[in-house]
Amino acid sequence: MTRLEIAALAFGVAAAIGGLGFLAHRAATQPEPMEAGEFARIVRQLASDARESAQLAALVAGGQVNGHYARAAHEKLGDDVKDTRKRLEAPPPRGGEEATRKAGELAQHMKDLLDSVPRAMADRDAMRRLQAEHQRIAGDLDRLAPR
Amino acid sequence: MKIWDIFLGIMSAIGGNVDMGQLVFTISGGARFDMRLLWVVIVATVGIVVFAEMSGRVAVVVRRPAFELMRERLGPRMGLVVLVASTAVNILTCTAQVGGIAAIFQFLIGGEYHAMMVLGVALLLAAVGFLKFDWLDRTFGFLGLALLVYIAVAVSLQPDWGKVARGLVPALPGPDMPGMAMYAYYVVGLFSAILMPYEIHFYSSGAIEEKWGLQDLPSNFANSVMGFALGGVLTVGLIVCGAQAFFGKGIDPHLLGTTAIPPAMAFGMTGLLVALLGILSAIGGAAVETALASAYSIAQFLRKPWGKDRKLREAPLYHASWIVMLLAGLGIASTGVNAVDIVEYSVIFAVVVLPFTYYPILRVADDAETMGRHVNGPATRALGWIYLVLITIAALAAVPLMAITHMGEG
Repeated sequence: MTRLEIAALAFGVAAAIGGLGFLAHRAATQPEPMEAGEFARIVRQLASDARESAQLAALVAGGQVNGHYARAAHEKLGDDVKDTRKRLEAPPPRGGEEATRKAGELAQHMKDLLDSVPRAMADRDAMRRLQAEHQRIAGDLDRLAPR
Repeated sequence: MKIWDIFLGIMSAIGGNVDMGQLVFTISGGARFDMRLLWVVIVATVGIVVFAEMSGRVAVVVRRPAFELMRERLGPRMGLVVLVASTAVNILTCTAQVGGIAAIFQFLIGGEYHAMMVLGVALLLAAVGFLKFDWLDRTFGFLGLALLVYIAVAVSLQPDWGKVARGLVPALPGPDMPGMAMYAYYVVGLFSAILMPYEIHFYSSGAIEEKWGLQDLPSNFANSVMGFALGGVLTVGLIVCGAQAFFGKGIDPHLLGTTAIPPAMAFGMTGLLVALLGILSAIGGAAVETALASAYSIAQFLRKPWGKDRKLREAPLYHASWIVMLLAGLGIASTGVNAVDIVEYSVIFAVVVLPFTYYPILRVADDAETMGRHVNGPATRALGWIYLVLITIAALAAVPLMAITHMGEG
Protein backbone atom coordinates (compact mmCIF):
# COMPACT_ATOMS: atom_id res chain seq x y z
CA MET A 1 0.00 0.00 0.00
CA THR A 2 1.32 3.44 -0.84
CA ARG A 3 1.27 6.28 1.69
CA LEU A 4 -1.41 8.00 -0.35
CA GLU A 5 -3.65 4.91 -0.24
CA ILE A 6 -3.11 4.54 3.53
CA ALA A 7 -3.97 8.22 4.02
CA ALA A 8 -7.10 7.87 1.87
CA LEU A 9 -8.17 4.76 3.80
CA ALA A 10 -7.59 6.49 7.15
CA PHE A 11 -9.57 9.50 5.96
CA GLY A 12 -12.41 7.26 4.82
CA VAL A 13 -12.57 5.38 8.14
CA ALA A 14 -12.40 8.65 10.13
CA ALA A 15 -15.15 10.17 7.99
CA ALA A 16 -17.38 7.10 8.50
CA ILE A 17 -16.82 7.11 12.29
CA GLY A 18 -17.41 10.87 12.42
CA GLY A 19 -20.62 10.50 10.39
CA LEU A 20 -21.94 7.74 12.65
CA GLY A 21 -21.05 9.81 15.74
CA PHE A 22 -22.93 12.78 14.32
CA LEU A 23 -25.99 10.63 13.61
CA ALA A 24 -25.86 9.09 17.10
CA HIS A 25 -25.63 12.57 18.63
CA ARG A 26 -28.61 13.75 16.58
CA ALA A 27 -30.63 10.71 17.65
CA ALA A 28 -29.80 11.22 21.34
CA THR A 29 -30.66 14.92 21.56
CA GLN A 30 -34.21 16.28 21.84
CA PRO A 31 -35.64 17.31 18.46
CA GLU A 32 -35.80 21.07 17.91
CA PRO A 33 -39.24 22.70 17.95
CA MET A 34 -40.86 23.01 14.55
CA GLU A 35 -40.15 26.29 12.76
CA ALA A 36 -43.13 28.59 12.24
CA GLY A 37 -42.56 28.37 8.49
CA GLU A 38 -42.81 24.57 8.57
CA PHE A 39 -46.05 24.79 10.58
CA ALA A 40 -47.49 27.21 8.01
CA ARG A 41 -46.51 24.88 5.16
CA ILE A 42 -48.20 21.90 6.86
CA VAL A 43 -51.39 23.87 7.53
CA ARG A 44 -51.48 25.22 3.96
CA GLN A 45 -51.10 21.66 2.68
CA LEU A 46 -53.96 20.45 4.88
CA ALA A 47 -56.16 23.36 3.80
CA SER A 48 -55.39 22.52 0.15
CA ASP A 49 -56.38 18.89 0.79
CA ALA A 50 -59.61 20.05 2.44
CA ARG A 51 -60.53 22.23 -0.55
CA GLU A 52 -59.63 19.44 -2.96
CA SER A 53 -61.77 17.03 -0.93
CA ALA A 54 -64.68 19.49 -1.15
CA GLN A 55 -64.24 19.77 -4.93
CA LEU A 56 -64.10 16.00 -5.26
CA ALA A 57 -67.19 15.54 -3.07
CA ALA A 58 -69.06 17.97 -5.36
CA LEU A 59 -68.03 15.96 -8.43
CA VAL A 60 -69.19 12.71 -6.78
CA ALA A 61 -72.49 14.33 -5.79
CA GLY A 62 -72.94 15.55 -9.37
CA GLY A 63 -72.28 12.06 -10.82
CA GLN A 64 -69.29 13.41 -12.76
CA VAL A 65 -66.80 10.70 -11.75
CA ASN A 66 -66.89 6.90 -11.78
CA GLY A 67 -67.01 4.86 -8.57
CA HIS A 68 -63.44 3.50 -8.77
CA TYR A 69 -62.07 7.00 -9.25
CA ALA A 70 -64.14 8.39 -6.38
CA ARG A 71 -63.00 5.65 -4.00
CA ALA A 72 -59.31 5.67 -4.97
CA ALA A 73 -58.99 9.46 -5.17
CA HIS A 74 -60.49 9.84 -1.67
CA GLU A 75 -58.22 7.08 -0.38
CA LYS A 76 -55.14 8.85 -1.78
CA LEU A 77 -56.25 12.15 -0.34
CA GLY A 78 -56.74 10.39 3.01
CA ASP A 79 -53.20 8.95 2.82
CA ASP A 80 -51.85 12.41 2.05
CA VAL A 81 -53.70 13.92 5.02
CA LYS A 82 -52.36 11.13 7.26
CA ASP A 83 -48.76 11.73 6.07
CA THR A 84 -49.11 15.50 6.49
CA ARG A 85 -50.65 15.09 9.94
CA LYS A 86 -47.64 12.99 11.00
CA ARG A 87 -45.45 16.03 10.41
CA LEU A 88 -47.42 17.78 13.16
CA GLU A 89 -46.11 15.24 15.67
CA ALA A 90 -42.78 17.11 15.86
CA PRO A 91 -42.53 19.48 18.88
CA PRO A 92 -44.79 22.46 18.11
CA PRO A 93 -43.36 25.91 17.40
CA ARG A 94 -42.83 28.07 20.50
CA GLY A 95 -46.18 29.64 21.44
CA GLY A 96 -47.94 27.55 18.79
CA GLU A 97 -48.96 24.58 20.92
CA GLU A 98 -52.70 25.32 20.76
CA ALA A 99 -52.66 25.96 16.99
CA THR A 100 -50.74 22.73 16.41
CA ARG A 101 -53.21 20.74 18.52
CA LYS A 102 -56.14 22.29 16.65
CA ALA A 103 -54.53 21.58 13.26
CA GLY A 104 -54.01 17.95 14.29
CA GLU A 105 -57.67 17.63 15.28
CA LEU A 106 -58.88 19.15 12.02
CA ALA A 107 -56.59 16.82 10.05
CA GLN A 108 -57.93 13.79 11.92
CA HIS A 109 -61.53 14.95 11.32
CA MET A 110 -60.78 15.37 7.63
CA LYS A 111 -59.25 11.89 7.47
CA ASP A 112 -62.35 10.40 9.13
CA LEU A 113 -64.60 12.17 6.62
CA LEU A 114 -62.50 10.91 3.70
CA ASP A 115 -62.64 7.37 5.08
CA SER A 116 -66.45 7.61 5.21
CA VAL A 117 -66.77 8.35 1.48
CA PRO A 118 -67.15 4.72 0.23
CA ARG A 119 -70.25 4.39 2.46
CA ALA A 120 -71.64 7.80 1.53
CA MET A 121 -70.90 8.09 -2.18
CA ALA A 122 -74.22 6.66 -3.36
CA ASP A 123 -76.06 9.38 -1.42
CA ARG A 124 -75.86 12.79 -3.11
CA ASP A 125 -77.05 14.68 -0.06
CA ALA A 126 -74.44 13.00 2.13
CA MET A 127 -71.74 13.97 -0.37
CA ARG A 128 -72.96 17.58 -0.37
CA ARG A 129 -72.80 17.60 3.44
CA LEU A 130 -69.23 16.26 3.21
CA GLN A 131 -68.41 19.00 0.71
CA ALA A 132 -69.67 21.67 3.12
CA GLU A 133 -67.79 20.12 6.04
CA HIS A 134 -64.51 20.04 4.08
CA GLN A 135 -65.00 23.70 3.16
CA ARG A 136 -65.53 24.55 6.83
CA ILE A 137 -62.32 22.66 7.76
CA ALA A 138 -60.39 24.58 5.09
CA GLY A 139 -61.67 27.86 6.54
CA ASP A 140 -60.67 26.82 10.09
CA LEU A 141 -57.19 25.84 8.86
CA ASP A 142 -56.82 29.18 7.07
CA ARG A 143 -57.36 30.94 10.39
CA LEU A 144 -54.48 28.96 11.93
CA ALA A 145 -52.01 30.01 9.23
CA PRO A 146 -53.44 32.60 6.83
CA ARG A 147 -52.59 32.13 3.16
CA MET B 1 -39.95 10.08 -47.39
CA LYS B 2 -43.41 8.70 -46.77
CA ILE B 3 -46.17 11.10 -45.77
CA TRP B 4 -47.74 8.31 -43.70
CA ASP B 5 -44.47 7.85 -41.74
CA ILE B 6 -44.30 11.58 -41.01
CA PHE B 7 -47.91 11.57 -39.88
CA LEU B 8 -47.29 8.59 -37.62
CA GLY B 9 -44.14 10.17 -36.20
CA ILE B 10 -45.90 13.44 -35.45
CA MET B 11 -48.86 11.71 -33.83
CA SER B 12 -46.51 9.58 -31.74
CA ALA B 13 -44.56 12.64 -30.65
CA ILE B 14 -47.70 14.47 -29.49
CA GLY B 15 -48.99 11.55 -27.48
CA GLY B 16 -45.58 10.37 -26.38
CA ASN B 17 -43.94 13.52 -25.09
CA VAL B 18 -46.05 14.11 -22.00
CA ASP B 19 -45.09 12.18 -18.90
CA MET B 20 -45.97 12.32 -15.23
CA GLY B 21 -43.49 15.09 -14.46
CA GLN B 22 -44.99 17.28 -17.15
CA LEU B 23 -48.54 16.58 -15.96
CA VAL B 24 -47.76 17.38 -12.35
CA PHE B 25 -45.64 20.48 -13.01
CA THR B 26 -47.99 21.96 -15.61
CA ILE B 27 -51.26 21.52 -13.72
CA SER B 28 -49.64 22.62 -10.47
CA GLY B 29 -47.92 25.54 -12.24
CA GLY B 30 -51.27 26.74 -13.60
CA ALA B 31 -52.85 26.38 -10.14
CA ARG B 32 -50.16 28.56 -8.52
CA PHE B 33 -49.19 31.04 -11.23
CA ASP B 34 -52.28 31.20 -13.42
CA MET B 35 -51.06 31.78 -17.03
CA ARG B 36 -47.69 33.27 -16.05
CA LEU B 37 -45.69 30.12 -16.91
CA LEU B 38 -46.95 29.77 -20.48
CA TRP B 39 -43.83 31.44 -21.88
CA VAL B 40 -41.69 28.67 -20.35
CA VAL B 41 -43.56 26.13 -22.48
CA ILE B 42 -42.63 28.08 -25.62
CA VAL B 43 -38.95 28.41 -24.62
CA ALA B 44 -38.65 24.75 -23.56
CA THR B 45 -40.52 23.46 -26.62
CA VAL B 46 -38.16 25.31 -28.98
CA GLY B 47 -35.32 23.78 -26.94
CA ILE B 48 -36.56 20.21 -27.29
CA VAL B 49 -37.23 20.74 -31.00
CA VAL B 50 -33.62 21.94 -31.50
CA PHE B 51 -32.20 19.11 -29.38
CA ALA B 52 -34.34 16.36 -30.96
CA GLU B 53 -33.70 17.53 -34.52
CA MET B 54 -29.93 17.72 -33.93
CA SER B 55 -29.85 14.30 -32.22
CA GLY B 56 -31.86 12.67 -35.01
CA ARG B 57 -29.67 14.30 -37.70
CA VAL B 58 -26.44 13.26 -35.96
CA ALA B 59 -27.74 9.68 -35.57
CA VAL B 60 -28.68 9.53 -39.27
CA VAL B 61 -25.47 11.10 -40.62
CA VAL B 62 -22.85 9.66 -38.26
CA ARG B 63 -24.70 6.36 -37.68
CA ARG B 64 -23.47 6.42 -34.09
CA PRO B 65 -25.68 6.65 -31.02
CA ALA B 66 -25.72 9.42 -28.42
CA PHE B 67 -23.87 7.69 -25.57
CA GLU B 68 -21.06 6.47 -27.81
CA LEU B 69 -20.53 10.08 -28.90
CA MET B 70 -20.79 11.28 -25.31
CA ARG B 71 -18.07 8.85 -24.22
CA GLU B 72 -15.86 9.98 -27.10
CA ARG B 73 -16.34 13.72 -26.43
CA LEU B 74 -16.25 13.69 -22.61
CA GLY B 75 -13.78 10.84 -22.13
CA PRO B 76 -14.48 7.48 -20.48
CA ARG B 77 -14.27 8.70 -16.83
CA MET B 78 -16.52 11.73 -17.16
CA GLY B 79 -18.71 9.70 -19.50
CA LEU B 80 -19.12 7.03 -16.84
CA VAL B 81 -20.18 9.63 -14.27
CA VAL B 82 -22.81 10.94 -16.71
CA LEU B 83 -23.96 7.39 -17.49
CA VAL B 84 -24.42 6.58 -13.79
CA ALA B 85 -26.17 9.89 -13.11
CA SER B 86 -28.54 9.61 -16.06
CA THR B 87 -29.31 5.97 -15.25
CA ALA B 88 -30.15 7.03 -11.66
CA VAL B 89 -32.46 9.75 -12.99
CA ASN B 90 -34.06 7.24 -15.36
CA ILE B 91 -34.67 4.82 -12.47
CA LEU B 92 -36.38 7.62 -10.53
CA THR B 93 -38.43 8.58 -13.57
CA CYS B 94 -39.39 4.97 -14.26
CA THR B 95 -40.35 4.45 -10.59
CA ALA B 96 -42.62 7.48 -10.69
CA GLN B 97 -44.33 6.26 -13.85
CA VAL B 98 -44.84 2.77 -12.35
CA GLY B 99 -46.50 4.33 -9.29
CA GLY B 100 -48.58 6.51 -11.59
CA ILE B 101 -49.71 3.57 -13.72
CA ALA B 102 -50.87 1.72 -10.59
CA ALA B 103 -52.85 4.78 -9.46
CA ILE B 104 -54.53 5.18 -12.87
CA PHE B 105 -55.45 1.48 -12.94
CA GLN B 106 -57.08 1.98 -9.55
CA PHE B 107 -59.06 4.93 -10.92
CA LEU B 108 -60.19 2.89 -13.91
CA ILE B 109 -60.76 -0.63 -12.61
CA GLY B 110 -60.29 -0.50 -8.83
CA GLY B 111 -58.04 -3.02 -7.10
CA GLU B 112 -55.23 -2.83 -4.60
CA TYR B 113 -52.34 -0.43 -5.29
CA HIS B 114 -49.49 -2.97 -5.16
CA ALA B 115 -51.40 -5.49 -7.24
CA MET B 116 -52.03 -2.80 -9.87
CA MET B 117 -48.33 -1.97 -9.85
CA VAL B 118 -47.44 -5.59 -10.58
CA LEU B 119 -50.12 -5.74 -13.29
CA GLY B 120 -48.80 -2.53 -14.87
CA VAL B 121 -45.18 -3.70 -14.96
CA ALA B 122 -46.21 -7.14 -16.27
CA LEU B 123 -48.08 -5.44 -19.14
CA LEU B 124 -45.11 -3.17 -19.87
CA LEU B 125 -42.69 -6.13 -19.90
CA ALA B 126 -45.01 -7.96 -22.29
CA ALA B 127 -45.41 -4.89 -24.52
CA VAL B 128 -41.65 -4.28 -24.78
CA GLY B 129 -40.94 -7.98 -25.14
CA PHE B 130 -43.46 -8.73 -27.87
CA LEU B 131 -44.02 -5.53 -29.88
CA LYS B 132 -41.62 -4.45 -32.62
CA PHE B 133 -39.96 -1.09 -32.07
CA ASP B 134 -42.16 0.93 -34.43
CA TRP B 135 -45.38 -0.57 -33.07
CA LEU B 136 -44.29 -0.03 -29.50
CA ASP B 137 -43.66 3.65 -30.19
CA ARG B 138 -46.86 4.12 -32.14
CA THR B 139 -49.16 2.20 -29.80
CA PHE B 140 -48.37 4.33 -26.77
CA GLY B 141 -48.17 7.49 -28.89
CA PHE B 142 -51.59 6.96 -30.46
CA LEU B 143 -53.33 6.00 -27.23
CA GLY B 144 -51.68 9.03 -25.63
CA LEU B 145 -53.57 11.21 -28.11
CA ALA B 146 -56.50 10.89 -25.70
CA LEU B 147 -54.66 13.59 -23.73
CA LEU B 148 -55.83 16.05 -26.40
CA VAL B 149 -59.03 16.14 -24.34
CA TYR B 150 -57.15 18.66 -22.17
CA ILE B 151 -57.11 21.14 -25.07
CA ALA B 152 -60.88 20.78 -25.42
CA VAL B 153 -61.20 21.17 -21.63
CA ALA B 154 -59.00 24.29 -21.68
CA VAL B 155 -61.29 25.88 -24.29
CA SER B 156 -64.52 24.80 -22.59
CA LEU B 157 -63.42 26.25 -19.24
CA GLN B 158 -63.54 29.65 -21.01
CA PRO B 159 -60.23 31.22 -20.05
CA ASP B 160 -59.56 34.92 -20.54
CA TRP B 161 -57.72 34.67 -23.89
CA GLY B 162 -56.08 38.06 -23.38
CA LYS B 163 -54.54 36.70 -20.20
CA VAL B 164 -53.45 33.55 -22.05
CA ALA B 165 -51.73 35.70 -24.71
CA ARG B 166 -50.04 37.84 -22.03
CA GLY B 167 -48.78 34.63 -20.39
CA LEU B 168 -46.71 33.94 -23.48
CA VAL B 169 -44.52 36.90 -22.53
CA PRO B 170 -42.24 36.49 -19.47
CA ALA B 171 -43.59 38.42 -16.46
CA LEU B 172 -43.02 38.40 -12.71
CA PRO B 173 -45.55 36.64 -10.46
CA GLY B 174 -48.51 38.73 -9.28
CA PRO B 175 -49.24 39.72 -5.65
CA ASP B 176 -51.78 36.88 -5.32
CA MET B 177 -49.15 34.28 -6.24
CA PRO B 178 -46.26 32.62 -4.38
CA GLY B 179 -42.96 34.58 -4.43
CA MET B 180 -39.99 34.74 -6.78
CA ALA B 181 -38.13 31.67 -5.47
CA MET B 182 -41.17 29.48 -6.03
CA TYR B 183 -41.71 31.03 -9.46
CA ALA B 184 -38.08 30.28 -10.40
CA TYR B 185 -38.50 26.71 -9.10
CA TYR B 186 -41.51 26.20 -11.36
CA VAL B 187 -39.74 27.80 -14.34
CA VAL B 188 -36.82 25.38 -13.93
CA GLY B 189 -39.10 22.42 -13.19
CA LEU B 190 -41.32 23.00 -16.20
CA PHE B 191 -38.32 23.66 -18.46
CA SER B 192 -36.75 20.39 -17.29
CA ALA B 193 -39.98 18.39 -17.49
CA ILE B 194 -40.33 19.31 -21.17
CA LEU B 195 -36.64 18.71 -21.94
CA MET B 196 -36.27 15.34 -20.16
CA PRO B 197 -33.08 13.79 -21.64
CA TYR B 198 -34.45 10.24 -21.87
CA GLU B 199 -36.85 11.39 -24.60
CA ILE B 200 -33.90 12.43 -26.75
CA HIS B 201 -31.86 9.28 -26.12
CA PHE B 202 -34.90 7.25 -27.04
CA TYR B 203 -35.58 9.37 -30.12
CA SER B 204 -32.03 9.28 -31.52
CA SER B 205 -31.55 5.57 -30.84
CA GLY B 206 -34.96 5.03 -32.41
CA ALA B 207 -33.73 6.75 -35.59
CA ILE B 208 -30.97 4.13 -35.83
CA GLU B 209 -33.38 1.32 -34.86
CA GLU B 210 -35.73 2.32 -37.66
CA LYS B 211 -32.77 2.47 -40.07
CA TRP B 212 -33.32 6.08 -41.08
CA GLY B 213 -31.06 7.17 -43.93
CA LEU B 214 -30.16 10.57 -45.36
CA GLN B 215 -33.42 10.49 -47.32
CA ASP B 216 -35.25 10.52 -43.98
CA LEU B 217 -33.76 13.82 -42.77
CA PRO B 218 -36.84 15.80 -43.88
CA SER B 219 -38.95 13.31 -41.93
CA ASN B 220 -36.70 13.84 -38.88
CA PHE B 221 -37.19 17.60 -39.23
CA ALA B 222 -40.96 17.29 -39.59
CA ASN B 223 -41.25 14.88 -36.65
CA SER B 224 -39.16 17.08 -34.38
CA VAL B 225 -40.69 20.41 -35.28
CA MET B 226 -44.35 19.49 -35.68
CA GLY B 227 -44.51 16.66 -33.15
CA PHE B 228 -42.89 18.51 -30.29
CA ALA B 229 -44.54 21.81 -31.23
CA LEU B 230 -47.98 20.22 -31.12
CA GLY B 231 -46.93 18.56 -27.87
CA GLY B 232 -46.19 22.08 -26.67
CA VAL B 233 -49.75 23.13 -27.54
CA LEU B 234 -50.99 20.24 -25.38
CA THR B 235 -48.76 21.45 -22.53
CA VAL B 236 -50.23 24.96 -22.88
CA GLY B 237 -53.66 23.33 -22.62
CA LEU B 238 -52.61 21.59 -19.39
CA ILE B 239 -51.46 24.87 -17.81
CA VAL B 240 -54.70 26.59 -18.81
CA CYS B 241 -56.67 23.68 -17.29
CA GLY B 242 -54.68 23.95 -14.05
CA ALA B 243 -55.23 27.70 -13.92
CA GLN B 244 -58.96 27.58 -14.69
CA ALA B 245 -59.72 24.71 -12.33
CA PHE B 246 -57.52 25.60 -9.34
CA PHE B 247 -55.94 29.08 -9.45
CA GLY B 248 -57.09 31.33 -6.59
CA LYS B 249 -58.97 28.48 -4.91
CA GLY B 250 -56.20 27.55 -2.46
CA ILE B 251 -55.69 24.12 -4.02
CA ASP B 252 -52.21 22.78 -4.74
CA PRO B 253 -52.86 19.83 -7.06
CA HIS B 254 -50.00 17.57 -6.00
CA LEU B 255 -51.69 14.20 -6.47
CA LEU B 256 -51.93 12.44 -9.83
CA GLY B 257 -55.68 11.98 -9.46
CA THR B 258 -56.17 15.73 -9.17
CA THR B 259 -54.83 16.25 -12.68
CA ALA B 260 -57.93 14.43 -13.96
CA ILE B 261 -60.37 16.75 -12.18
CA PRO B 262 -60.52 19.48 -14.91
CA PRO B 263 -61.80 17.02 -17.58
CA ALA B 264 -64.41 15.75 -15.08
CA MET B 265 -65.47 19.36 -14.36
CA ALA B 266 -65.80 20.14 -18.07
CA PHE B 267 -67.17 16.94 -19.61
CA GLY B 268 -68.24 14.77 -16.66
CA MET B 269 -67.48 11.08 -16.55
CA THR B 270 -66.67 10.80 -20.28
CA GLY B 271 -64.06 13.52 -20.00
CA LEU B 272 -62.59 11.88 -16.91
CA LEU B 273 -62.32 8.43 -18.52
CA VAL B 274 -60.76 9.79 -21.74
CA ALA B 275 -58.25 11.79 -19.69
CA LEU B 276 -57.38 8.76 -17.53
CA LEU B 277 -56.84 6.64 -20.64
CA GLY B 278 -54.58 9.34 -22.09
CA ILE B 279 -52.60 9.68 -18.86
CA LEU B 280 -52.23 5.89 -18.59
CA SER B 281 -50.89 5.67 -22.15
CA ALA B 282 -48.59 8.66 -21.75
CA ILE B 283 -47.00 7.50 -18.51
CA GLY B 284 -46.91 3.88 -19.72
CA GLY B 285 -45.05 5.12 -22.79
CA ALA B 286 -42.73 7.17 -20.58
CA ALA B 287 -41.96 4.10 -18.42
CA VAL B 288 -41.07 2.15 -21.56
CA GLU B 289 -38.98 5.03 -22.92
CA THR B 290 -37.01 5.46 -19.69
CA ALA B 291 -36.32 1.72 -19.45
CA LEU B 292 -35.24 1.49 -23.09
CA ALA B 293 -33.30 4.78 -22.95
CA SER B 294 -31.24 3.36 -20.08
CA ALA B 295 -30.69 0.09 -21.94
CA TYR B 296 -29.51 2.05 -24.99
CA SER B 297 -27.21 4.25 -22.89
CA ILE B 298 -25.58 1.38 -21.00
CA ALA B 299 -25.06 -0.83 -24.06
CA GLN B 300 -23.88 2.05 -26.25
CA PHE B 301 -21.47 3.37 -23.64
CA LEU B 302 -19.96 -0.09 -23.08
CA ARG B 303 -19.94 -0.68 -26.86
CA LYS B 304 -22.07 -3.80 -26.58
CA PRO B 305 -24.70 -4.88 -29.13
CA TRP B 306 -28.07 -3.16 -28.74
CA GLY B 307 -31.41 -2.96 -30.51
CA LYS B 308 -35.02 -3.52 -29.58
CA ASP B 309 -35.57 -5.92 -32.47
CA ARG B 310 -32.43 -7.97 -31.76
CA LYS B 311 -32.85 -11.34 -30.07
CA LEU B 312 -31.96 -11.79 -26.39
CA ARG B 313 -28.85 -13.85 -27.14
CA GLU B 314 -27.63 -11.23 -29.65
CA ALA B 315 -27.86 -8.30 -27.20
CA PRO B 316 -28.03 -9.77 -23.68
CA LEU B 317 -26.82 -6.67 -21.79
CA TYR B 318 -29.27 -4.42 -23.62
CA HIS B 319 -32.26 -6.67 -22.95
CA ALA B 320 -31.24 -7.35 -19.34
CA SER B 321 -30.93 -3.58 -18.75
CA TRP B 322 -34.50 -2.63 -19.71
CA ILE B 323 -35.93 -5.58 -17.80
CA VAL B 324 -33.91 -4.61 -14.69
CA MET B 325 -34.99 -0.96 -15.08
CA LEU B 326 -38.69 -1.86 -15.06
CA LEU B 327 -38.24 -4.30 -12.16
CA ALA B 328 -36.20 -1.69 -10.23
CA GLY B 329 -39.03 0.80 -10.80
CA LEU B 330 -41.48 -1.79 -9.44
CA GLY B 331 -39.23 -2.59 -6.46
CA ILE B 332 -38.74 1.03 -5.42
CA ALA B 333 -42.38 1.98 -6.00
CA SER B 334 -43.44 -1.03 -3.89
CA THR B 335 -41.72 0.46 -0.84
CA GLY B 336 -44.59 2.95 -0.68
CA VAL B 337 -42.69 6.08 -1.73
CA ASN B 338 -44.92 8.82 -3.07
CA ALA B 339 -44.77 8.70 -6.88
CA VAL B 340 -45.31 12.45 -7.18
CA ASP B 341 -42.42 13.22 -4.79
CA ILE B 342 -40.21 10.91 -6.84
CA VAL B 343 -41.24 12.63 -10.04
CA GLU B 344 -40.22 16.01 -8.63
CA TYR B 345 -36.77 14.66 -7.76
CA SER B 346 -36.41 13.07 -11.19
CA VAL B 347 -37.41 16.27 -13.01
CA ILE B 348 -35.03 18.43 -10.97
CA PHE B 349 -32.07 16.03 -11.19
CA ALA B 350 -32.68 15.47 -14.91
CA VAL B 351 -31.87 19.08 -15.66
CA VAL B 352 -28.63 18.75 -13.67
CA VAL B 353 -27.50 15.92 -15.97
CA LEU B 354 -28.88 17.51 -19.15
CA PRO B 355 -25.90 19.74 -20.13
CA PHE B 356 -23.57 16.72 -20.17
CA THR B 357 -25.71 14.82 -22.67
CA TYR B 358 -26.68 17.90 -24.70
CA TYR B 359 -23.14 19.25 -25.17
CA PRO B 360 -21.60 16.26 -27.05
CA ILE B 361 -24.54 16.21 -29.49
CA LEU B 362 -24.17 19.95 -30.09
CA ARG B 363 -20.42 19.62 -30.70
CA VAL B 364 -20.86 16.80 -33.22
CA ALA B 365 -23.74 18.59 -34.99
CA ASP B 366 -21.47 21.66 -35.23
CA ASP B 367 -18.50 19.70 -36.59
CA ALA B 368 -18.33 20.22 -40.37
CA GLU B 369 -15.72 17.49 -40.79
CA THR B 370 -18.02 14.85 -39.27
CA MET B 371 -21.37 16.12 -40.51
CA GLY B 372 -20.37 17.30 -44.01
CA ARG B 373 -23.16 19.28 -45.66
CA HIS B 374 -25.55 18.32 -42.85
CA VAL B 375 -23.65 20.40 -40.29
CA ASN B 376 -25.67 22.89 -38.19
CA GLY B 377 -26.67 25.99 -40.16
CA PRO B 378 -26.10 29.46 -38.62
CA ALA B 379 -29.58 29.60 -37.05
CA THR B 380 -29.41 26.10 -35.53
CA ARG B 381 -25.86 26.75 -34.31
CA ALA B 382 -26.92 29.99 -32.60
CA LEU B 383 -30.00 28.36 -31.07
CA GLY B 384 -27.95 25.33 -30.01
CA TRP B 385 -25.46 27.45 -28.05
CA ILE B 386 -28.15 29.72 -26.58
CA TYR B 387 -29.90 26.61 -25.26
CA LEU B 388 -26.66 25.22 -23.85
CA VAL B 389 -26.39 28.43 -21.79
CA LEU B 390 -30.06 28.21 -20.69
CA ILE B 391 -29.75 24.52 -19.80
CA THR B 392 -26.56 25.18 -17.81
CA ILE B 393 -28.21 28.03 -15.86
CA ALA B 394 -31.19 25.78 -15.12
CA ALA B 395 -28.84 22.95 -14.05
CA LEU B 396 -26.97 25.23 -11.63
CA ALA B 397 -30.16 26.71 -10.18
CA ALA B 398 -32.21 23.51 -9.87
CA VAL B 399 -30.97 21.98 -6.61
CA PRO B 400 -30.63 25.29 -4.67
CA LEU B 401 -34.18 26.23 -5.71
CA MET B 402 -35.43 22.83 -4.63
CA ALA B 403 -33.89 23.39 -1.18
CA ILE B 404 -35.03 27.02 -0.82
CA THR B 405 -38.65 26.22 -1.74
CA HIS B 406 -38.79 22.97 0.29
CA MET B 407 -39.54 21.08 -2.93
CA GLY B 408 -42.15 23.55 -4.00
CA GLU B 409 -44.02 23.68 -0.68
CA GLY B 410 -43.11 27.31 -0.11
